Amino acid sequence: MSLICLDNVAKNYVNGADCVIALKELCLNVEEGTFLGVMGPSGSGKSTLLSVLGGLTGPSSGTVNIDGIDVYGLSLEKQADFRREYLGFIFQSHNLIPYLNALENVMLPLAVSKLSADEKRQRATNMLGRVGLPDRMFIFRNNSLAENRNAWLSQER
Amino acid sequence: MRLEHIVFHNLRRRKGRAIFLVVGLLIGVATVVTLLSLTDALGRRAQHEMENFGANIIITPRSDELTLNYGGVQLGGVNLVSREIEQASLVNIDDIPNRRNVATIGPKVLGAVEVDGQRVMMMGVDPRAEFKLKRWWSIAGRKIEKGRELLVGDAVVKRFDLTMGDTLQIDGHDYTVVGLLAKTGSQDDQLLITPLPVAQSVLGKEGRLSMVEIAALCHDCPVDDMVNQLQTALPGTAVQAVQQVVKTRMHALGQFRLFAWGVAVTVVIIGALLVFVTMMGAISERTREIGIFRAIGYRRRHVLHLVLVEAAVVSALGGVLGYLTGVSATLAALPLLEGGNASWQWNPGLAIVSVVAAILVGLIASLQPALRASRLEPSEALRAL
Repeated sequence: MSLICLDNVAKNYVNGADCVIALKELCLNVEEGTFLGVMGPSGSGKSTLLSVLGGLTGPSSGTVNIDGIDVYGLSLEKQADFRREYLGFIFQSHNLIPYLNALENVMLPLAVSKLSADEKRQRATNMLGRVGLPDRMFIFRNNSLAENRNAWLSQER
Repeated sequence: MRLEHIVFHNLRRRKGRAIFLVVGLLIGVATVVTLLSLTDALGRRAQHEMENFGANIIITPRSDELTLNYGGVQLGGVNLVSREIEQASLVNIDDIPNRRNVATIGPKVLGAVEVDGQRVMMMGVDPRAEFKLKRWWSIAGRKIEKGRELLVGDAVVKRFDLTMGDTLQIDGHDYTVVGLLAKTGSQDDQLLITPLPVAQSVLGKEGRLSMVEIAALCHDCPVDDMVNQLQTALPGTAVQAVQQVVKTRMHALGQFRLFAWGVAVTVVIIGALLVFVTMMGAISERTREIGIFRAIGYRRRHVLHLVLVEAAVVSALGGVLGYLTGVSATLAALPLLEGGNASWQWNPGLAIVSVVAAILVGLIASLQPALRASRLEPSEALRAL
């Protein structure tokens, strides 16, 4: 079975009498280790697809299976756990928490875990090192866009 | 890093809002603490005054006969064939539920004696209790202590032209005048006052009393309850409260307390609204941030935790600072009230309640904004990925 499996996924945005179809009868299988890019014109549903894949927006119909888990069959709280345990995001805008430094931003998902403070710090430090930001961990907002993305990329789980 | 870490960083970043909330709660708590502390201090002052004022409950024998009058109070049976109070029965007062409110018990025996062929009223008293009850008495000489000593009322002094050290013969015994009571304008001016056992002996009323005056501290108990309890403890007596004194005082205090609580409740409601509006604003401002938290896997209760811990921290700070400000305001205001005679007393209960109440108000007022934040769906909060 594919790592990511979308079966007949549709997503409609309804606003009063207006209905915008963002995704229609979408089937997609992505194998583990695949690097996938999605291209298309503005309004073609790329963001909606990513949102659905990211466990952020439930589809209007169809199923989304990731690693054998029916993501939207989970309760909302379990969906949150799923996002924390399985997924990482790099947002278009960097979306770092501005009052936390780079290291703390990397540790954000760990704030709700039961790991010890030392372990959280160690894991976050290692991840920042892996994306080339070992010397920027106590910096707040002065990172470049790329550095901010790297910080997001290194977010620990 | 824990969730609390995020809370404290957020508070540090949004100092202006945090200070606004703390100051808002501070003013509320300080107002409540000031009013309640003043009420408490004035209540204690009133209680102290009541002690100094003297008796506020009078116990007399129950009698259907014609009575004499003393101090505006009907004395059952001080005349001739009367029933009297058994002195031994006074121990029953120790068993009443409000015993701690009984400050002073002043037993008295009254009767007529003959001095130089003239009848004069003699009053036997327990000197220690009596001088506590009659703090306004002004005495030339000294107070009576024991034995055949007399404190003589002003009218009697004038009638017999007495001076300090004079001796009066009563019932075949010599009594020494040790104190002259300055004019009181009351029936005390007509009295020969002597220690209780001496008077009981000369009047032939050993172990019996004509009346008992009690100073009850009714700051925190209704005087009517005290009267009922005493009545039950001392059957065969008539227990009366000096209603005007006590009730007027209690009424005034009650009115002030009611006012204080009214203002306190109003201030608490305003404080809660302030917290509510500010927290709602904060949640709107942090929508995107909350969306990020939710997107990276924070559960609803984690978001709820973030908002409520922030509210609790700010409220606790407002509560502590408000309490300290309220105490300072009370200390500043007290010299201006009651001629500076009222004093502040640390009340740990008020300190704890102030801080706990501030936290509760903060939490309750923040509950709706916190729930709203926790219900934000990540996709709604993050408009653009």
